[in-house]
Amino acid sequence: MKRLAHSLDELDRRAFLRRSAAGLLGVGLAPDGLLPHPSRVGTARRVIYLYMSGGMSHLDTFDPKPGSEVMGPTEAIPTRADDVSIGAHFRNLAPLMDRVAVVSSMSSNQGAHVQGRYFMHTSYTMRGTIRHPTLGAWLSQLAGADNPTLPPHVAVGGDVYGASGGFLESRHYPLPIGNPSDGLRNAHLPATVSEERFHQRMDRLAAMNAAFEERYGGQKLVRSYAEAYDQAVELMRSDDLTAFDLEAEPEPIRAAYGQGRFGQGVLLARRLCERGVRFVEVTDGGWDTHVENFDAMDEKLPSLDQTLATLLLDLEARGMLEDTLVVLATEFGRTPEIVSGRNGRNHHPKAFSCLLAGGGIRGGQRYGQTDERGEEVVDRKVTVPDFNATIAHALGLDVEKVHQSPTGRPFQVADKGRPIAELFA
Amino acid sequence: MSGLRALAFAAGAAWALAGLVPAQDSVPDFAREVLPILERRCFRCHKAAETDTSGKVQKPKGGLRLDGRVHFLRGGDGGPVLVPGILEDSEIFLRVTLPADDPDYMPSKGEGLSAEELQIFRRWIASGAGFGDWQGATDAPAAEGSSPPADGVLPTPSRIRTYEILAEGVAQPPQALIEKLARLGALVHPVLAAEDRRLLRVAFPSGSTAIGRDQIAALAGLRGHVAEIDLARTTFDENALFSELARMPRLVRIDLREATIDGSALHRLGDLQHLDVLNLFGCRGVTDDAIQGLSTLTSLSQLHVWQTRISEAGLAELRSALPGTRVVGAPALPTPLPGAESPRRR
Repeated sequence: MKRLAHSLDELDRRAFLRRSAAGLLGVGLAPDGLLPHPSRVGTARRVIYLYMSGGMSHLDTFDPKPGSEVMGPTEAIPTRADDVSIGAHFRNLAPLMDRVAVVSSMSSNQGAHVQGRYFMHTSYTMRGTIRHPTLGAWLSQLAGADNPTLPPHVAVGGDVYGASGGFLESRHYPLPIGNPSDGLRNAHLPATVSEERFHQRMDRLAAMNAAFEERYGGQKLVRSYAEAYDQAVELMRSDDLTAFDLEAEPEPIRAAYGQGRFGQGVLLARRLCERGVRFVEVTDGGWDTHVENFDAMDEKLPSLDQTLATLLLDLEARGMLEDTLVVLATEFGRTPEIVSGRNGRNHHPKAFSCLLAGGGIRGGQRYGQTDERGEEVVDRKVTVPDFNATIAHALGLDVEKVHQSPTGRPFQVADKGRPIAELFA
Repeated sequence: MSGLRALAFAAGAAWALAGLVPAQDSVPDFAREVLPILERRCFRCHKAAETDTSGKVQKPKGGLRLDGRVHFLRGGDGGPVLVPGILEDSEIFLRVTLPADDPDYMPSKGEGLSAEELQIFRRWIASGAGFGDWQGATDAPAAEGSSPPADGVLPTPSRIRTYEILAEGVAQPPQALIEKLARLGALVHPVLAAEDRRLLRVAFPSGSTAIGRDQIAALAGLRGHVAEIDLARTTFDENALFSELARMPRLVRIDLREATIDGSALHRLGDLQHLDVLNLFGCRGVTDDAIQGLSTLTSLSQLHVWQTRISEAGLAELRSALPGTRVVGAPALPTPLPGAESPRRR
């Protein structure tokens, strides 16, 4: 109530800003029939963003250093791409590495999980005075939906950590899906409520709200609340609701994605992207391997290999890999030193690896380089904002453009990051 | 950018209320009026690198120097800070007009600009930010302390290069025709650039959308402009729609994923000279009967037929009929990990 009262004071200014922003910030259909459009035409229409939460070891995955004592028991295998060798667990991914760009010179200055995740997702470091939007929220705001009845931005699995709309309106926040196999819950009318009765209820609600909305409908919070109802009702009636239902997927494909939450979450992401959802983030936990790193790798990597290889092949066969950008990201890497006594690796933000594939990315390359221990970046360092600017550029978003928060502060989609030309085909 | 414009406007309005805007917007003299403000409020941090008393090198903050015309116009690590004549695009103006408790507020040390100084500054930028004779420091902008140059030139995607060639000599289509199509449920995007409507992508988004006579008539109006059409999960009269598509001389991509078709009219697409990608994924009605029609589509570089009812033998026949086409069938998905449970059990 306090927040609402506070923003009522701002009524005039907000209404003014809203009216002037409506045309250009991707709010609603432009009067000329063309959709709100990012400022350029990008190489990707949508993103499947796989987030390895906890800090994925770069040495044991995509930046191995064969022969070095930092590797422990981890071995490397060659791939379809000449200069790219990867951890030996990735036997399904190795023949597909001609589709994938490994960015092995990632470098962050945030060594704690929450701060690192926030930085990775927003390109800004955490500060007390504002919440920054994630790339998915920016995309929702600036490019709009590809399918008006589905939410443009969905987050699957685990906590929604950094994935928030920040200072953007709540409709740009991701729709959270906890367990992918449950689909979208509470999306159908209960058996005891008929369509007609539902209509009556909604009409009554509208009648009760009318006076208030007439007076305060220009308010962001009031409008967001009303919009959430409208969107939910539209979604309940949509044929596209079946996109959320994994039971509709053939069993062999469900199995190929992997049986765990992550694999099924990635399958859900593909189903949603097929129907026009723009940005789906799928989170996988358990990467914070301070203890028994190598046991964790033995457990996690075969299933990541399985899921990622299936996703790339499945998208490609459906003709979707060309305009779907697949991202694998994490908040930091792990130390070359293997902590004695507990066989673990600690946090290592100075150097780590992320992947990009599809969506106009030139695969089959390793971009940037770390030293022989995987400790320091020695060639073509990529900052977190640069990495996000590259994703934004692929999506046709203008990374130079300055946008304003509701309090009038200037922000860019990927802060001051610059897209990396060599990563594009 | 309208948000910024609104802010600048709102700020202007506030000053107007406070009676601060002079009757006439006279152009301030840079050396006499603006430079002293910069000296007082900005130069402490935004000047050439120098060694302080403790022997430490003090670089200009944010890579920004304001102590010379060339440096001022070049801007800082984040790019230019001044766009002469346009307040709302000039970051320097934005920063000094933020609330004083904002982390991005400038000057970050010492006192902020007074209302009078702000007004001079505003008029100076709005009037075109002339520097008069003033040059200030003229040393070459230093590379150190600023961000690295952009990595190479961002490439133009090959798809766009193709479209640029196809769009040569094409006029912008009348907006009324785009509006008409949009009203009938289509999403219309330009494919070349945001402001360039010569070539378009048309999609019919929602599940099981029926495309009828009205939609086909509206598409006919834009015949020369459709480069991509997305008909995924739609239902339509195949003969009628494909006859119209066959008249679209610049059609490059047709997406028919899970559309309700039997493929009996696919041969009509044989006239499309530039058709490059045809996606029939999940078209359950398409059988080996469609092979003859598909075999005429020699311009294709990609043809997707996974989850159609085309047989293995049919696939082989297609591949030999279309040697220049990548005919994409079922992928060899990884075998599930040993000991994997069924995903249905949880």
